[in-house]
Order: sequence, then structure tokens, then C-alpha cells
Amino acid sequence: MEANEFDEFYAASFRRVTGQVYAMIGDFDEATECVQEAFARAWAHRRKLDRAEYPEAWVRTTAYRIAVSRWRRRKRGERSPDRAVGHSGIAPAVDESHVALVAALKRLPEAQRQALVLHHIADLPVQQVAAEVGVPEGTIKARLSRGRVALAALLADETGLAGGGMSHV
Amino acid sequence: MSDHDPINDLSRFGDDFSTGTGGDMPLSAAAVRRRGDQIRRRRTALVAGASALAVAAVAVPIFAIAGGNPKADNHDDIADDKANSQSLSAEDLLRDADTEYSPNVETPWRTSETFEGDGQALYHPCQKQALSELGATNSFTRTFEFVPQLEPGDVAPPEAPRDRLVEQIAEFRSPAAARSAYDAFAQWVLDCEFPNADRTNVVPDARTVPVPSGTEAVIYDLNWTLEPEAEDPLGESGYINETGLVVQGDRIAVIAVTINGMDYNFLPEEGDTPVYRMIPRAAERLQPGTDQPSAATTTDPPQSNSAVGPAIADDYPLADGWPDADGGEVTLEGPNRTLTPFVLGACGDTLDDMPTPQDQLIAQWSQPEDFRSRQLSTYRNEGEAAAVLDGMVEAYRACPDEEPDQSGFTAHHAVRGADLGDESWMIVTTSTFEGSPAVGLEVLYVVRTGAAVLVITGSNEGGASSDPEGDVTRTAESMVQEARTVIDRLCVFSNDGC
Repeated sequence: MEANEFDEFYAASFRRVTGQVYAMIGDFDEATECVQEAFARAWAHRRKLDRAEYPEAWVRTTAYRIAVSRWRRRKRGERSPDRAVGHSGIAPAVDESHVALVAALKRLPEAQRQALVLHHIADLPVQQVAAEVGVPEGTIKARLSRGRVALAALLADETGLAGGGMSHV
Repeated sequence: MSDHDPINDLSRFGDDFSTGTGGDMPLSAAAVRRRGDQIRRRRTALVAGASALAVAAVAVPIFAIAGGNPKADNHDDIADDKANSQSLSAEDLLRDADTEYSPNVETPWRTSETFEGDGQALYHPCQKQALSELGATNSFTRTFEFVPQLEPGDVAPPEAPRDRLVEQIAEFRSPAAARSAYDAFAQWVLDCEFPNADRTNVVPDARTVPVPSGTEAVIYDLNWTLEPEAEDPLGESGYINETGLVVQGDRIAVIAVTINGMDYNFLPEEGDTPVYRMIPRAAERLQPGTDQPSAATTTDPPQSNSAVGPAIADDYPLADGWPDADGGEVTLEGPNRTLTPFVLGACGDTLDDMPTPQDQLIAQWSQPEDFRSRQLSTYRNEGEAAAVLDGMVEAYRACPDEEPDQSGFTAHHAVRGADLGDESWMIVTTSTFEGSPAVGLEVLYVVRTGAAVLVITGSNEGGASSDPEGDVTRTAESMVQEARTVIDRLCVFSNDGC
């Protein structure tokens, strides 16, 4: 992958992947930084990326793993050493209509949240979600079904959405 | 039932972020690529990155090491503590406040256990014997656990019981016995096969750490992956370990951090790794009590830069020919005698037995995707300089292929003749990944004239283009052209003069 190809890939995918990771972890700034870091690693590993069938999936998975790792060990709000390219003063620019949705997603079990995000936000077919998560298709279908019911109930009861942090568990 | 249709909400969310209403990109693609280049350079740099990656073990006053460290004030108590620690004791172990994780951030490590002797287990994943079996007459171990700092409302993160820091210290009957144990531990790490791991990778080239005179310290990097390669081809879910080894007189310290995850990515230019930052503290703690020179009175001058014998003029044009440093991202350092000397060598041979230069001047020029440096060293006589040159060349000639690094990249060295000075060689380092050429080219010129040896390095993104040999030629020609004045001036070190 040459520099101009990477730049096009970054421009085309950054916002989309950031949205997906934001939906999965519930923290827009953290999602932004993790996606940046994942793209940097994608460039560092670009020959591997050339062989990846779905480069965007590689970045998304990497960003999510970075977020999980960072969350496990880092006090929120602290600057970490691998945020060397960290943003400064960016406005989250998250539509208010999405806040309730993300808050509801945060209250779902991780497996259901991940399935919903990959299928309905990343628009991946069930088969690809199953491949990315590493479980059978039937498991994904069950998670989607349960997740949709739970999410609908949570969205209907927005008074129950206050508080909470990232919930990777 | 709800009026909300979650599928529509989710789809709209995805659409909004796909059409660009989800926030600005905080960084340009070029900035992200630069960050990627930094990550890759850390992995692949051998010679050109030596000044950042591997700091030569130059003896410096201990407070010079602590200087500038934001936590240094917290450790002024070390010398006082030492007064009570004539024999090895738990006082010689790192405390919570000595530990490091993220630079300039409160440490998350908290003491879990401290005990004397071998304990009930081996505390390093590569350790094959208890310290007493290595000959230790006394030893202490402290384990630390990683305690994330939570704020109200945070959900507790998943437990990571294998994330930990362990320090072992031991005392031996003699410095020779301590050295033997230090070497044995290093070999255990190099031979490490983590139990139940699908694969274990050890970086064979240890990183050296600047430590006080009379102390040596190195760091080994390793990782292991429990998941089969088919399920985790990139090893991203593996465990990362860095192990620091310190030997000081008849004592050793072993400091190991093990982390499960992907975020252990501490670059040298950002403060380096936690173990790298902890080793000077550990070395200070390890010093015996008040009958030994205290850290405050250690005034050994740097050994390798002392200017006796064939001195190099301060105005030697070592940096001549490089592009002007007026660009926003270009950095020029030197020429001076304070930059870290190059660490040359291949396949683990770091040429430590080379004669010490009588004088040495170093300069380096860098921008994010290009690093160039020059090191001029003088020796007692022409024969000694020739022996140094031979040693450098032979080290690379004997090592055409390095072992694959932890990411699967393999460096290859090729030695070619050159026509500069009294004698010269060009050493080309390229790398491959799974047999295919990988990005990253390093060219090293070693030139001797009289009693002086000039080393010129250059590195760039070549090596994996459609014309890799052309990349080498262009890089080499450019380096020589830039350094023409520097090379021509080497005549001042020949018997015949200029």
C-alpha cells in the first residue's frame, strides 16, 4: 500500500470506523484516539494489510483491542504514551440523537453490543460478523435477536440510562 | 413495548458516521503515517536508530541519569534508606513510588508481596532455577499488581491477573558469581519457551541502559501467544514482557513487566519503556550501604568520550553536506561529544571488545521518514583503527541473516567494497517479511583513513520498491555526495597529512 492509497483509505474509513468503535466502547474521544493509533499501526504493518481481505475490519478490530487494553490499565483522562499523535481540542461533534443510543448500547452485554454494531452500524452480513468475532453464525443471530429486544426496551426507558462508564466486560 | 425501532436508530447512526457528520478527523493522514513509521522504525531500526533505541553503557554520574526525571524528587530518600541497608535486604527493592508505567503519570503498580529467599515459585516465565540454585547467598522478591484508577461511575475492567511487575534481587559470594548468574538469566530469556504458549518470540538483541559506573544493565523484549496462529495470525492478543537485568558488584536485579494486550507501545522518543525507566532506580537501590561511594559523590567522568591521543578539532565539519535544518520537521544535533555513540553489530555481536576511541565526535540529522548520522572516532594508531574497521565488517559479514524479530521481520546484511579513504566498506541492511521484501533500507559506510574511522548511516523507506537495488544505489550515492567534505578532511588523521 503506497502513501496515497493509505491516505485515501484513511480519509474514506476514519469517520466510519470511529463511529463503530464509539458505539462499541461508548467514549467518543477514546474511540478517536484508538482508531488513530490503529491506522498508524496499519501503516506500520502495511505489507500485512496488503494481504488482508478487509483492511477496514483489521483497523476496526485493532482499534477495539487497543481500547480494551487501554481501558483495563489506564485511568480515564490520562495521556498515555501511545497517544503520541493525540488530538488537541477536537470537538466530539456527536449528534445528540446518538447519545441515548450509545448510552443504551453501553448497558448491553459486550457480545450483544458488538454483534449489533457490526451488523447494523458497520452493515456487515451475519456471516462476516461471525468471522470477525470468531463464533458460529447461529450465535450471532441469537445475539442480534436478544440485543435488539434489549436495546428497544432500553431506548424506551431513557430514564434508566444515566451514569455508567465503558463496559467492555 | 417501545416505540423505538432500534434497527433504524442503529442504521441512522452508521449512516451519519459514514457521511462525515460524526466529527472531524483530528489528524492528517500524513501525521498518522509518521506515527506508523515511528512504530515500524522502532521494530526494524538496527544501526540508524541506535542512538534512540540502544543507549551505549557509558558511565555517567548517577544524578545525571536522574536529572530531568519528573519523579526524581521522590527518590531523594534512596541514599538515606541505603544507610540502613549494608547487607542485601528488602530495602534494596523498588518501592511503589519507584515504579513506572506511563511517563509522567502516577504509577499503577502496587506492592502485592515481598519475601526473602526463593519463595514457592519461580517468578519469571523464563526462569529455570531458583536464585539460590544460581549461587545466591541471599535474595528478595517483590511482586506488584496493576491497579487501574477508576472514577465514580466507571465499570471495573476485566481482570488481567497476568499483568504484573516483579523484581528479584540477589547477592552472591563474589562479583564473578553474580556475573555468572546475570549471564545465566540472560540465556534463560534468550532460550525462553513460555509454557503452554503457541509461540514465544524473543528479540535476541538486548537493549542497553545507561547506568552508573560499575553497573551493567540490559533489557530483553519477548512475547508469547497462547492462541493458535490460525485464530490470531498477528499475535495481537499475546503477552508482552520486558525483562531488565542489572549486575552491580556481587549483586544482581531482575525486573520484569508482563502485560496482556496491545497497548504496550512505549517509544524511545516518548520516554522509553517502563523497565528502561525503572532500571536506574533499581541500580541505585541495589548499591550497598554507606561504606560505598554514595550516589551523590559519584563523579566518574564519561569514559568513552575523553579526548586524549589524536584529538578531533571541535570545528571538524562532520555535519557538512546535510540539507539545511530550516524545514519544520528537520532536526540537526551535533557535532558534539555528548550524543550517544552508535551501537554497531549484528546477530547479537555488539563489538563490545573493540578498543575505546581516543576521541569521538557525533552528528545526526533526522526528519520523520529519514535518519542520517555520522560518527568520527580516532584511535591510538593506524593499526588499531584498522582492527576496529575489520571487526565492524566481520561482524556483519558473519551475519547475513538475523533471526526474525517479534513481528516476523528478518533483517539481512550485505557487505560490499567501497572506494573511500584508505579503506572502506558499505554495509546494506534490508528486511523481509515471510520471504517478501519489506519497507526499510539502511546503508552504513565505514571509512578508515590513518587512525580515524568514520561511520556514516542513512535510512529511508526504500527496499521494497520495484527497484530495490536502485534504492540502495541512490541512497549510497547520496550519502557519499553529502559527506564528501567530511571524508576528504579525514586526511588530517593520516601520517602523511593532507
